[in-house]
Amino acid sequence: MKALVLTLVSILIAVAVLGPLAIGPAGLELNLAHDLQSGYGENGFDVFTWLVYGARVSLMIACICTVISLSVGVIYGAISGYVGGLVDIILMRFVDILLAFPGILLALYIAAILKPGILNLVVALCATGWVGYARVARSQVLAVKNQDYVTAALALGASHARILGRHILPNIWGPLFVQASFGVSSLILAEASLSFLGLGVPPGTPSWGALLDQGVTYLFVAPHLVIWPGVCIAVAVLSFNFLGDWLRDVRDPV
Amino acid sequence: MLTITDLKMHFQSKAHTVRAVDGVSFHINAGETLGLVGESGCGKSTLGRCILRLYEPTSGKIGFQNQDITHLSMHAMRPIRRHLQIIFQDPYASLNPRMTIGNIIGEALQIHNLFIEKKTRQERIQELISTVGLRPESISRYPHEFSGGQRQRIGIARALAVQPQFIVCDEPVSALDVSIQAQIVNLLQDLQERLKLTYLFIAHDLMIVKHISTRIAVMYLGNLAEIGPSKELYEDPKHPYTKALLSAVPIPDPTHPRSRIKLTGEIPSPINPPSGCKFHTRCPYVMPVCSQIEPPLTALGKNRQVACHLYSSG
Repeated sequence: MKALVLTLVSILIAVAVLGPLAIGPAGLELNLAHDLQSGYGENGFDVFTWLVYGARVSLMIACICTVISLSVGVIYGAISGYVGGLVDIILMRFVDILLAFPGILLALYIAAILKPGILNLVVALCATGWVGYARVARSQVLAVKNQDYVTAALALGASHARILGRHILPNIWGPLFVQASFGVSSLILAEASLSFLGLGVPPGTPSWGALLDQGVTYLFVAPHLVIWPGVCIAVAVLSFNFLGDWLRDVRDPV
Repeated sequence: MLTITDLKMHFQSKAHTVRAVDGVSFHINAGETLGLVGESGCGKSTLGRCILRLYEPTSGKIGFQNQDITHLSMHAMRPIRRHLQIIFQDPYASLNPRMTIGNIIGEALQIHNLFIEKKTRQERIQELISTVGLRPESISRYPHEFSGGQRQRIGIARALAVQPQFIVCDEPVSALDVSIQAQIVNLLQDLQERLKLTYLFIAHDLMIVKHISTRIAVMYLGNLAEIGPSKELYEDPKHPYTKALLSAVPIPDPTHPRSRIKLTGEIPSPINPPSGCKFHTRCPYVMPVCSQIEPPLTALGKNRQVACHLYSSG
């Protein structure tokens, strides 16, 4: 499991980081001389080049959104759990409201209001992405904040900032990292979905979802336009799911 | 040194009020060890934590060195916390697993701005580590590399770092092996002598409490049943509950005649405690008055106090 997970994830990251450097931007250009059959898509772009550049865009968006969502969620959830009482009730009811919407629907709505663009896509995905982390962070804080070492810090007169920063936060990361790796895979999927619907990356930006969108018109004529980005999305999602499974098993080997 | 007056700690939930500590008064003299015994769930630990203001008491007063600390703010409390420390029962939960021993002990110094210079602080940490009998290289190790007894020593070093006067020992040995228990108790006694410490020693092992305490307070369901000098209380227990507790202590001599007072039933719930004397449901000497009126803690002889109708009417 470990070998498989590490291989898949490192290949994905290597392709995303180094791939575009290796093959150069030539295939991104319009080249009307080519037709659909020979590995070229609509407008004459090279499918392989788009897949490689798409890996970069898709993974980058997924990772940036995960980092932002994780940070916002952890801060929000930690404050809610640590302060407790009425503050906790109010903050968590707001989370419940957001969780009541299917995440992708809300992201779709926000993406539809904002103009297509990478920044707006990140905003749309993060707007719903952080709530899950907030819930997990809160429950972890609740579990940790009554530990004796936190009481000991209180008895020493430690400030709330010190207790949160040095005693609580360093001890709640485990489950959050597991959730984050599942989060990356669901964001890859969400980004692909939004781009497929034309609400994601701006036109002309290579992304797996955008490639699917363009290829679906030619599904029966040139199925490779759909199959390859589909395979890429599936492999990427599976890889990060495996990573999450593995991290969970490492943490809790029962 | 420390005076508790009618301290109450009620935990409020939606449906219930848990009367964990329900009107406790006593004082602790400088340099002595007050043993606090009682069954699980009688409010011993809650009382200990209230004294350190780790819980906000519902009512009552806590006086430390002639200063009322019951309502001090977190900020005003900080300099006083230096003098009031705690040692925990569970040596596995009481140390942050992500911090080295040096950082755990050093944090206490950092919070109170003691030994600010890096070199002197390191020396102070080393000194504390050797005081509690650990090896010098422990400073850069993590808690999981130590055994339960060693961890307990680290907890003691952390409490000692700020040079406290008063330490609440919250069942400090009940999670340890018997052989280790003796080591830790001896360490605590040595430290008390050397550093002129005052202890509130919470425990349910009566022999250890007898060994270490100057005076003993017996607690039942949030109230004090009896308080008095260790020796007198063991030789001549007054309160029926104390008698029952002491008769349950095993005597390592099979020929010694024993008369056990067996208590029936469970300790009642602190959510809905019995009326009058809380012990009347299990007391072998129960009288009609016991379920009506709660007996106050009244003086009996020179230094003893007992809360029981058997003695109050005279």
